[in-house]
Amino acid sequence: MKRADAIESIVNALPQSAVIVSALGFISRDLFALLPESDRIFCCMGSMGSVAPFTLGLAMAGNRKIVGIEGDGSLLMNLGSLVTIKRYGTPMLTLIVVDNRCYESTGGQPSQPATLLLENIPRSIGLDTHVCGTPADIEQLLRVPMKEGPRVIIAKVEKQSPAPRVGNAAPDFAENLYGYFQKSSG
Amino acid sequence: MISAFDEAGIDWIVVVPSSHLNDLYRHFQKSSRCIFATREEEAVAIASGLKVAGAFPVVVMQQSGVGNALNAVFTLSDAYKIHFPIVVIDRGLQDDNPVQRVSSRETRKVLDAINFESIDWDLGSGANLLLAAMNGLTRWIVSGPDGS
Repeated sequence: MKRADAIESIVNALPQSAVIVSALGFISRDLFALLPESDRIFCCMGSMGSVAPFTLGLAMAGNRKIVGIEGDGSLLMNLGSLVTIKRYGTPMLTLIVVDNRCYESTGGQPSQPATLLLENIPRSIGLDTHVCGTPADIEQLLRVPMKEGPRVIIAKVEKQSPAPRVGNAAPDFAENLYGYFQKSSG
Repeated sequence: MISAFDEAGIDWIVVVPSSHLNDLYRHFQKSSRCIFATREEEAVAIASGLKVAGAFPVVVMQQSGVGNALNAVFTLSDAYKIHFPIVVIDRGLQDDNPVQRVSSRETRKVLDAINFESIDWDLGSGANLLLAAMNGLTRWIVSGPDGS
């Protein structure tokens, strides 16, 4: 499926109160293009490898559904964070890995050997792992409330040109999201 | 050190274990508020999430973890102005492990470049320093293995 369609299906399937974190590069560009005015998204423009643990931190202190959208290359940079998610994760946490098998934002260099199926990694750690090949798969899965958690979704996507850069909105994401947590807590 | 953390209202610590700090870990483990990360960079990202969600976390690491942490510090915590302390235990130039001695020597140069505060936890100003870092006035707080 196309990456932009996958991200749009994530946004459409989640409740209005869900918080969404996205990984650097094309993933954040696509999410920001869909929700440019939202105070419940956090678009990373650096810190490759940090979406999974950042999302975990939000989930452990927040009191609502948190979704992190990682890229496969970013996840591989801090693979240990899957173990930490297994150790401490909550049902409020969903990690979606947009898997195009390459570092698309830097020119499409392969990120994995051809024989690797990324979903086998969270599965082997014992995380509830699902593979989605279509936007409908994603929407159907996200609409099912989690009883136990956390949950990992591997969304298989193809290369696609991105939306425009996020630009100078970056420094406001933390302040906006902090305010969203403050006003919607309790 | 523990009383400084309590006085400052620290409600989470995110750590990669260092020798000498088991009492601190146990203190926060009593309330299930000690998170063991697999890497210092991951610890910084977890603490960033905790802070944005409204908590008051501290990252605690050995000086050999500073290098591992820097990308998340620069491009997540600093870039997005997510303020919280990072406490560094520096094993120092007299450590019995020659590799740690090199790490201490070189990491001090890095810390000098990115600014840090030294602390003797027994002298009573720890809570103020932790609060200053929580409010963005500083970030890195460094002490030796014995707390001074």
